[in-house]
Amino acid sequence: MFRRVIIVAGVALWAAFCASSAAADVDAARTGSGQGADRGSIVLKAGKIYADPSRIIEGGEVLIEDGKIVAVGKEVTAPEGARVIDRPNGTVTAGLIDANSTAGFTRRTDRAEHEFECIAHLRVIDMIDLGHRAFERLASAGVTTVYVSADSASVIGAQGAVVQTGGPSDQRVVREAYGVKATIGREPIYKGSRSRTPRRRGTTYLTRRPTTRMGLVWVFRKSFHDAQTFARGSKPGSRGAGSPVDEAIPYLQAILRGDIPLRIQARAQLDILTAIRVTDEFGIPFVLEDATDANRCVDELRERKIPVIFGPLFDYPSGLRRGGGEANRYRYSTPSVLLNAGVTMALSANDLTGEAALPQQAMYAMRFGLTRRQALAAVTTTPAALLEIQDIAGSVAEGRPANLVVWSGEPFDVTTRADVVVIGGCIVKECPARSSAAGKKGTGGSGDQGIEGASDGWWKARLRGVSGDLDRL
Amino acid sequence: MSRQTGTIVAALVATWAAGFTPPVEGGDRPFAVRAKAYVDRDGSVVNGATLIVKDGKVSAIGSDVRVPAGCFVLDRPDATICPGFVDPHVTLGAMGRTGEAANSIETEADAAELFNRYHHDFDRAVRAGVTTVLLTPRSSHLVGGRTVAVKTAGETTLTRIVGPGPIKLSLAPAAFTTARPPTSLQGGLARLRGMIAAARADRNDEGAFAKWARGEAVAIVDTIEAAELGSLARLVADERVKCVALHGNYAAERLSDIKLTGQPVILGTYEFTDSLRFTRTPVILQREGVGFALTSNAPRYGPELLRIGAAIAMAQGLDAAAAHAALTTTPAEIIGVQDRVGSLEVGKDADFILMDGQSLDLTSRIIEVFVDGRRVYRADTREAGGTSRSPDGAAGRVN
Repeated sequence: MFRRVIIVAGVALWAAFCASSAAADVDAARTGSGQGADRGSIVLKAGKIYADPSRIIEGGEVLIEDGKIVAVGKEVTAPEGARVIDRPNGTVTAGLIDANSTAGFTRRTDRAEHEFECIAHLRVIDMIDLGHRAFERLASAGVTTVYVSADSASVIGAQGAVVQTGGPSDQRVVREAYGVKATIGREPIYKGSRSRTPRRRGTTYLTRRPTTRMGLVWVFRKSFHDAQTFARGSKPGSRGAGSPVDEAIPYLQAILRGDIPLRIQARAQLDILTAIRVTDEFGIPFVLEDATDANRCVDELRERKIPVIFGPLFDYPSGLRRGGGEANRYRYSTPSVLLNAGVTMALSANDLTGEAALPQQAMYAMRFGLTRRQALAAVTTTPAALLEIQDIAGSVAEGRPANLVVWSGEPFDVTTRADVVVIGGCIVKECPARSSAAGKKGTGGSGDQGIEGASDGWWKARLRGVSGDLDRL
Repeated sequence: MSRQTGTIVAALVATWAAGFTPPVEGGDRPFAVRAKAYVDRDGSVVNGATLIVKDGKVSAIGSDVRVPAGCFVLDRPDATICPGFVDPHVTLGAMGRTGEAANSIETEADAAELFNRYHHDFDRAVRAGVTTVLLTPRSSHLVGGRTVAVKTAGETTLTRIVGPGPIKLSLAPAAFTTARPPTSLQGGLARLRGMIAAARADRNDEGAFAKWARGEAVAIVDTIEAAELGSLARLVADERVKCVALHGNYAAERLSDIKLTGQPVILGTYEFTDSLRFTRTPVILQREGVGFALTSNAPRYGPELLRIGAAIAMAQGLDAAAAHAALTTTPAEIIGVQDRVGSLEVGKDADFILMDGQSLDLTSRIIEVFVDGRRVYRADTREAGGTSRSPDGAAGRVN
């Protein structure tokens, strides 16, 4: 009856449903989590609290009330009836932030609007699915906040959004529209409705530029040139296909004024250098996304203080990265090269979720040169600063929304997983504590027992769900 | 040549269709139906039913209604009287394609132009107990156009059109192709927002879209996948427009989005092969206090699936009153024809069906269907053994 596509797409969640179909389970899940029950007081006790990368509290406690962090310290005064989660072997960090994610995109074909090549007036929040399973997978990996970046099919794409991966449904959207993404590289040329050579006279949106990198940069220049011309009060000479549509002009002007941050996705060295060159012409600061070849442009990036949201690190490029030769010269050492050269860098897992998400990126980065503090900064405070949400996310401090992760050991170690994830004061994942025999008190103890327990915990966490609505089924 | 052929074919179709037009009985003479029970407006079943029909309208209904002397009476001592079912989304009975291919936005397209009253699909709908349908443009357009509510039986085209229905929008993947703009959901929403702003600026615009944009009318919005419910909720919250989600398959998983729309949902079509994930939706919505109607999406699926869908939902725990509402009153309210159809009340159209058992029992048979007080369908009630339990056995008598 429903189209097969939908059913196939829903198979995974359906499996979880099967597991939860017994009424008792569902009721337990309903009363056990969601907006109500879990937003009471919670005390997290752990062997170590990374309040921020430079402030570590040994044997500390965090008190959460009404979705906010109320106290952080050696010992907090817990109110009566507070839920205590005690993980003497664990560590606490702020929820991780992925500043360049694709979570929530559900459709294969229409992730970007192809009518115009410059769609700075459109918003990603209008089309992403906040109930998408990618968010659940990210939350269970310890990523609590993501910037959903526009698709790379447009030269100048839509405005992204900052969203929570779980927690109370009325607090999921942190910023409806933040930043505009431009892409310099192969994808605006080949993705989506691929521009063709016009057969007859006249250019439509199917036959306009770009079909080459030259055409792409022409569109980029033309967009900002037209915006500048309008801002001066005059009209550009030509307004044919490839010119920015009227609705987009105010947003382009806001980018020129610096009111809307520009992000540019560029992978190959050539494209990164092109991005630097054309933005120099207009004097636009920008944040570099993806940046596979950033290690080959270190001097330029440092000189112009261009922050980089690097990633993902991968063994071998897959998906769209695989074609086009943009991502063939990847290096695991790039994050440490960038940081050691003084470039601001955040790590990103982009489209990778679950176990492949940010913690694994940080793990690889550490294996290839980053210290733990550097790695922690690259997935918490640095992305928070780049998204201008450093006042509400990225570190564990009083008064902030309670987005926290309790890790089973030192963060980003190979044997460490996210045991407890709290978003907006809701416990969205809780694995049972490993048995006390797992190791003596202190951090880093990761016994090899408890594998069974771990999988039980995982399923219970799944049952509780991440999105508020699912809980209530 | 082709015109000639067309004329001949049309003539043949007309002749053929006329041959199969259900017998029209009843006429303008008042008559009464006595039955075992009837389904009340709130979906409850009232024992002992007397229904009096006059001029095609319900003139009295109840368990203690007196039949005036001289009135013709149909005695159906085993039957249940149920209001005719209302299907809030069909392309049934349409002549040709139901979507303009060239543009994604067709505010002035009107499904009334597609209505072909001789279409044999209507016979099938009548047999399934469906007496009113909303004929809609297809979901391959961001703005598909105006819908029209029509009766599935009746004498003339004009009397069969109940009235214009809500405007039809679609946020479903089918509405977006790379071949014509807007090509994406985000582009579509931006386009809608722009059109809403323009329609609000022009107070003289009396078009269906403008009325919706000003909040004076509802729209039926195809939201077949989960992502679209979120987008719809965002549109409703930002623009304060009234939207009914169509095919809200994921409504139970996106309760906050659905509640935000503040409107009932159109669910379905449900089949026996559907997963629990979808068929549980009605009972969850009932528990959460969200109204819903069912659709058969005919002719893609048979109109019988309206009844079957209700039974499938009841198998998951939906109660009978809510199932009745989903087939009658709620869809009538969504379409905006609740003053005429959807329930058997004094003054409303005498559109009803007689079933030889309980109204929502799938083993019950629809034995007679009345539209505007005229009998438009009568089941062949000869049993395999050759005996007759025909309603005409006790055909009627004068009181």
